[in-house]
Amino acid sequence: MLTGIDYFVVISYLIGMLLLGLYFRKFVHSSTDFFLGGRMLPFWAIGMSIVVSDIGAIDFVGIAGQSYRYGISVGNFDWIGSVPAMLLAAFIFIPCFWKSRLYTIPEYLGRRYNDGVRTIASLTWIVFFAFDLGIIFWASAVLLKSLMGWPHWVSIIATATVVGLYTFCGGLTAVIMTDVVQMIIMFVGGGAVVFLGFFKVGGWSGLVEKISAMGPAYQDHFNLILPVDTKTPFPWTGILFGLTFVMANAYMIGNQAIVQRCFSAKNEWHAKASMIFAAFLKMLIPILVLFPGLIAIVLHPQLEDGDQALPTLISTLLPPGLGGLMFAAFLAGLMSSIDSVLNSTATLWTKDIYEKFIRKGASDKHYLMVGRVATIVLLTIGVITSPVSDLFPGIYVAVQTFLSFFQGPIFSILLLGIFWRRTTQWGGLAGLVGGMMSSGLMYWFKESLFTIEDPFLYVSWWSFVAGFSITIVVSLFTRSHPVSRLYGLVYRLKQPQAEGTA
Amino acid sequence: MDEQNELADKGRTENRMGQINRALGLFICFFSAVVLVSIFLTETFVGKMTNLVAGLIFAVIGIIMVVKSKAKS
Repeated sequence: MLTGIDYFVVISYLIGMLLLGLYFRKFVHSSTDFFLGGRMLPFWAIGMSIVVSDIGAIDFVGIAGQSYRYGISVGNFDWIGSVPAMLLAAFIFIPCFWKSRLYTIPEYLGRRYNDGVRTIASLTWIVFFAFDLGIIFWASAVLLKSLMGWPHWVSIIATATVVGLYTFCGGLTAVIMTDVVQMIIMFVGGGAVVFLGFFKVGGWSGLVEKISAMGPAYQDHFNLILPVDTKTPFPWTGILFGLTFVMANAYMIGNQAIVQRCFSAKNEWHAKASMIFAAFLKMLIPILVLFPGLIAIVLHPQLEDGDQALPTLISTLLPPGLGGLMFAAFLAGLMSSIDSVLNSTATLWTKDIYEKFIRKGASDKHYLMVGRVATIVLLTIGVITSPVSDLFPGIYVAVQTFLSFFQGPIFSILLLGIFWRRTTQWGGLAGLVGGMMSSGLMYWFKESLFTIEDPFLYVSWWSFVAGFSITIVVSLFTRSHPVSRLYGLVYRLKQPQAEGTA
Repeated sequence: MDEQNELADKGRTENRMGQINRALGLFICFFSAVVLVSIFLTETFVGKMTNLVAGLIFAVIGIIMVVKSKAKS
């Protein structure tokens, strides 16, 4: 358990983060400041923020838990499942989005296809983020119960109160800049956990030797690639097709919470560089998240829940002071995930739904107020829905299962929209709806279709294939937008310069 | 005129980033101090060394941010 100095660090850290969030209020004068940080942020801060928002504490806790249960195969999510997609985003998609001066990804879909596609995509993300919030709240409760013995509901309400204030005031600037602090502390603290863990188990060879001696249940723990018939959720086919081809790209290119950060860059160079810098940092993540899970198998083999592996290691391995700071950073990492989701959802709601359908042409101050009110409403929904995640065996699987419902279809229409000029608005609409329906059907018949327990990787792949095929077929039979409407929305389709201009 | 506006915008952005860097740098320095002080409350040698290294890393990062912020503003 935590010592006196650790409690001091945790409380100071939380108060400090709150004060920082409040301090950043002075930079929020318009809706652009609130939703996009005034479009003035540098690449290094955005890059760090992308990594923290992506991994956050939910992944630190969740991936360490999966590593405790299934071994290093979960590391695929941060290497092959992220880096290639981030580079693709940096060089192809981000420049195109950035030049269009977008606020949201559905806004791109609306311009490329029609308002129906924009609204469906936006509402889907809003619903997902609302449930995701609940999952993150539950993760924070697991962490707090493990370390401080607080009941779940006390933890959830305490977290919601602090994060609500902080996001309401500071907007995206506060979200990104507090992420910078969190990333620095998470890397230093995570590095210390790994170093001390290895010291205790006798280094890498000691770790391998001890886990291998624990019996056949652990025979696959050091295999990065698992066979098709594995009982884990990570067969190689799912990793390659579902994760690498679909989920990773969909997440890094089509996820509002990630891409919105790049929209806040001060110019196109910074927008691209932020994603490349984030890809570099992402390559280091598996070292910080996988090894603690494996070390916990040796040091704490009797844990009831794998998600308790990392919190248990923090409380038993780290010295006083750093232990408290690491715990506070994880807690704040959860808060960072919450405020990222809150800010992105408020942006989606305000720009894609409210401004489009409820009140057009209102003042900028009005939309700023709507964004802030949306933040509070979403926070309340997240608190109420948080117990749902307890129905799933691991927090990480719960998030991936939610995502697999719609990420494949959204990515398929983004991909075709940007690379194939012939894609039509009706093709995009049919592909999106048809792909999402195929996901629902696959989960409905999952017992007879799949042999593994959590087939989210396969569902992602096949729903992508369904969305992609339907979009192509319908596009071939319907009329596309005139070329003049597609300038800036399709890759390498540039408006011809008028005669006499340079 | 456009050039003047652009320069003014650039100046405002630099100034804002300077203020942000200073706030973050001071915040990180504060935690560096806490981690360094907690060396005296740590019993094991490995624990003391871990806190020392971590505290120094935080201190270096925090000081760099504060110094950079002064250069910008």
